[in-house]
Amino acid sequence: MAENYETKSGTMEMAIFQVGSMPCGLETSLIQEIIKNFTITTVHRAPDFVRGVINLRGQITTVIDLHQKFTTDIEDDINSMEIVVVLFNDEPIGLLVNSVSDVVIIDKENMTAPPANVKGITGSFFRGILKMEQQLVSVLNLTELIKK
Amino acid sequence: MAIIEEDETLLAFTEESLEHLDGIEADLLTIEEDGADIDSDVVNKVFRAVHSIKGGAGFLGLENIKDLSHYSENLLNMVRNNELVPTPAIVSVLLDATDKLTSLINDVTSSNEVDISTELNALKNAVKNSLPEEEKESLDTSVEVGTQAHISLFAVSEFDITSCRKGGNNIFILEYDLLTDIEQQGRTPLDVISELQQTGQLLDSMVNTASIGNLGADPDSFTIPFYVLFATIMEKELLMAFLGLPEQKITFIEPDQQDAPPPEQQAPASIEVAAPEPPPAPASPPVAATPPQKKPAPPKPFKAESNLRVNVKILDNLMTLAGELVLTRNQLSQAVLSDNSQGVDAVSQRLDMVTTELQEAIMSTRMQPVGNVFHKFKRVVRDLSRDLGKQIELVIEGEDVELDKTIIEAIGDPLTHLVRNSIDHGIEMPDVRLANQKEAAGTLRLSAFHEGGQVIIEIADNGAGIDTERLKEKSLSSGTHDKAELEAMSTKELAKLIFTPGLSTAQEVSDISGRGVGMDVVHTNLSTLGGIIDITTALGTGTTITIKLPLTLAIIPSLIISVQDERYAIPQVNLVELVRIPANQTHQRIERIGDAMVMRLRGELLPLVFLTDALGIEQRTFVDPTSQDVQLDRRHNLADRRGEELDQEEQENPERRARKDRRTSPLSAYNILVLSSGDHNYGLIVDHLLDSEEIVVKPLGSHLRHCKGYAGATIQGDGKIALILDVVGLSSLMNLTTVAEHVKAHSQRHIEENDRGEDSQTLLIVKNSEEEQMAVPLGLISRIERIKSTNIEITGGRKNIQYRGGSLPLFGVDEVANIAYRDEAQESCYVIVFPICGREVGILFNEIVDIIDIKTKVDDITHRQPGILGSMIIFDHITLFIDLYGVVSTLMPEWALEQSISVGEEGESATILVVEDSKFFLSQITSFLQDVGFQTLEAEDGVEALDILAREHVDMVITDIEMPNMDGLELSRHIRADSEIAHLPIIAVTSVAGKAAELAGKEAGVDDYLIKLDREMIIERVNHYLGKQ
Repeated sequence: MAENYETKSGTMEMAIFQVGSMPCGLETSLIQEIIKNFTITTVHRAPDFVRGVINLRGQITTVIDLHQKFTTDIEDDINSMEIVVVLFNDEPIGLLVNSVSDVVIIDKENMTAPPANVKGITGSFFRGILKMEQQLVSVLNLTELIKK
Repeated sequence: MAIIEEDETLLAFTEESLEHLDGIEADLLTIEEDGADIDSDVVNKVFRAVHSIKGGAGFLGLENIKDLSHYSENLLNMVRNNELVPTPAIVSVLLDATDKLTSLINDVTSSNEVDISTELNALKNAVKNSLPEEEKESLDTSVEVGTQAHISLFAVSEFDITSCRKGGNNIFILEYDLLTDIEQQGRTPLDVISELQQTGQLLDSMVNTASIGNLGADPDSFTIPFYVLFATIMEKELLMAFLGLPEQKITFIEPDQQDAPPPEQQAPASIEVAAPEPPPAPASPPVAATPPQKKPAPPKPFKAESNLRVNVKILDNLMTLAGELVLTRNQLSQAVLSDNSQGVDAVSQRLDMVTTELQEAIMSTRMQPVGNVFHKFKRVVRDLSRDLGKQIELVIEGEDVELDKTIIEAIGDPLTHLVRNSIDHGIEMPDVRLANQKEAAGTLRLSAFHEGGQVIIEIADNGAGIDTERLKEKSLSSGTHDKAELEAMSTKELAKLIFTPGLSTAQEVSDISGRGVGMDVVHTNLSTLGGIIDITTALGTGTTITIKLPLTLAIIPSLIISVQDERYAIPQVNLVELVRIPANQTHQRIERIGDAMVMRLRGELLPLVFLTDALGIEQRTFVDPTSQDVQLDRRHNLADRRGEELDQEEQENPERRARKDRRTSPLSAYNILVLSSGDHNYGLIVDHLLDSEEIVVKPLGSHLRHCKGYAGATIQGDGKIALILDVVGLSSLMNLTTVAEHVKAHSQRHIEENDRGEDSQTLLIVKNSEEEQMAVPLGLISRIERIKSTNIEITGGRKNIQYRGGSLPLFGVDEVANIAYRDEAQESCYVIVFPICGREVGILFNEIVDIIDIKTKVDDITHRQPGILGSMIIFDHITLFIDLYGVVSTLMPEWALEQSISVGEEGESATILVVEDSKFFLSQITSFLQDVGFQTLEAEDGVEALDILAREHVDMVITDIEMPNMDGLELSRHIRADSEIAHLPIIAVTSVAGKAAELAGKEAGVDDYLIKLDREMIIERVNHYLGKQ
């Protein structure tokens, strides 16, 4: 994962999606794919934030529920949700989010460091806050989110 | 001389050498067995193997390997020439050297730094001691030989040269140029070496790195000379032609100069040989070859890849199958495009076939014979028994049984440990054995065989057995179990204590066992492979350890089950049996001990757990099935083998106290999987049993790996995921081990209360009408078929059905006996197929209720009539015991007649003693023996039988196994021990035959093992044995 936030200038492509009511963003270069129709198989006795597993072309892929991670408000119907698949240590991991709304090219100058907590959620889950015209988007820190 | 860091050559060398070494050990042991009477083929084989290792090592500059193989070769050469008898001491030296060689080759790059002096000196001494006095010196004397340009290329011991010359060999120094003579002709140095070794003996070889000179100065004059000291019977001219080397590259070493070395030679003598300076001229290439571009690769750390040799035939087969697969895909897409559903059916069938074959073919590439592991133990047994002063004979059986490569590799260590244990603790010292009336030499039997899609490996010794009393003490003192628990344990359970961590029975820690790797580690290692370990032992007679292993780890047969509409897979290996408890019996069968749920299963208490509880599913919902659903379920499960035991006494006196605590649930019937988690069994309650499938195991993601209870996941036909349950993990999640121990204490009491007099019978429960229940002994039945009523044809007044290309006569019990009529309007019915009078017949029934294991008394008076043997009470119902033979012989008396006649010829008026404690079976057996004309005597147990045998003339004994006072096995032993009656044929009859029981019987001296009511078979065998007399 080459997350290059260090260079302050230039642009990058960012997928914007909602987790609960919170707008979040993730660099598209980190995303393997986004899937819509899926069946999640529940794994009992798994950690709370693991929603279950899906069959990703023959590979058993763990799905992490970001709503659980952020302890955010009541989820919508799971059928309208989407799974953002990212590669973490060569293992595909699915992130369960509300639908991906947009893919935008943003100026890195609009990024600011995250505050110690965002809406009561640990700040370490985020790489930064992206100031967009309509809203503030929290950019996810995959390493912190996915690690056990 | 530096090691040539040439990965490819090095890799080829190590692979080849290891392969050679693999065979050497076994061959050396054969040589040892043969002793002075050597088998020159075997010796030559070993010699050649060591020789080629030496050749390659010399080229690669692996000095240590070269030296070691060289001296081994010397020793072998003397054996080959009958100058030396391969005593065990000599073979030991060779074996040690082989071991060292293996370890050196396994770590080739640092092999030159390893100290090999011990092995080397041992080899040298072995050679020296067997040499005549005058030649001894020649060993330490070394001679230098060389070409004119390089005066001393090789330092060879004089012994080598003289021994070469003894065979009439000429000695040459050959000079190859690695680039022009070898590389550019598309050969490898190893090729050249093996070519040379076919025509003569390679004494030494070296690459002269010193003369390489200035690299890159002038590419044309760039040579890497490779010198070979070579002994052959060929003359120089012949050699030139044969090797295609120019004259100047072959240097002949004069014999006279070698034969007279100065006697007190300390410094090596130099021998100059006249030979022209070899110009780096390209040799005339006899074969057209493409010169491969050699890249000057930087030296990389050498690492042996894990490679697999695959038979080309298998690869060809795979290719063909891949082609088939492509064709099938084409057909499928065509069929789909043209919407041809029939075509799709055909293609899917074909696809199924191709896939199965492909899977098998790919699997076969991974399969290796278990002999690969077994043969390593020859050495272990030899060395250990020698160290310990024990005499042990190793018997290896089933070495061709194949297992997945990964499993073969992984079982090596656990097996070694078990074998060591057997030798160290199991088999006694010869004097102890003799004192115990055993042969001085103990036997260790390693065997492998297939059973039910698994491979069973057995390690059996006829040694002292495990002293369970001492295990008890140990366990008590180490505090792993308390006294009550230990008292309740059976011998088998006690024996399994050896797998408890921290428990060693060894009086003292010896060099061989008890060095930290306990039996618990063996247990764990095997468990991770999906293996199951079992142990049977008898003090004084020996121990058998049984390991069940899956054929492969990648694809496993498993049972798909569901709870709460979630599907799970359970590996078939862990599955012992399936039990279904109908709603009306749950009260009698399921009880609570403390807060644990248990079930009675054949007199044992089995801890039970709901899968929903084990997985932490909180809400449990139930669908109240209508009575029709229950019926359907039963049929669905019919193919499953399950046994349920129902004790009359228990039903009449259910424990009132327990009833209050009992979980009352809306579930009408329990589906229970009896699972084996290695050291104990438990029952898992699930909602539905779905299917038995072969599943492909996929690993779970990193977040779920620490999640106990799952062994992985698999993808089902519909693309959905089913998680694979980890049977051992679930048991530890639910703390079932402690429950199991509680249960053991309880079940022990239960068993004692139980009457052990009656034999347990496996019965098939059938019905023709709702009210009347009937039973047939399962052992007599060959098959059960479900047929459509419309397929029944009536010809010649008899019912028949076309079946397997012939016609199967069908009968109904209601045609013979006065029982309720079978409802013939029903759409389908069941046929119980069994053999009689040399043909197969079927008996029709409408419904199959269950298969049960039961201990019950048969009342042979009340309901006795033609076709009915008697009655008994099963599931609170009076159940008629059907006489299959009676039904047929009443309807077709001429068939039975045929048989009586054939019997009459042989055994007229022979007297047979029938020993059987159950009155019912006793009268059954005697009556059909009398029917065919034999005289019978009756005894109720072994003691009475012996009494009769002492008084009366008897021609043969038929005995039950389980009897009070003296059982059948004991009786057989007594008969065999008494010289007057030892010759009598003994047939054992039992309700359930099993291979283990059969073996036990054979050991006790039983001639044949038969099913109790199988009258045909019994009569046939009786005739057979009486005829033999």
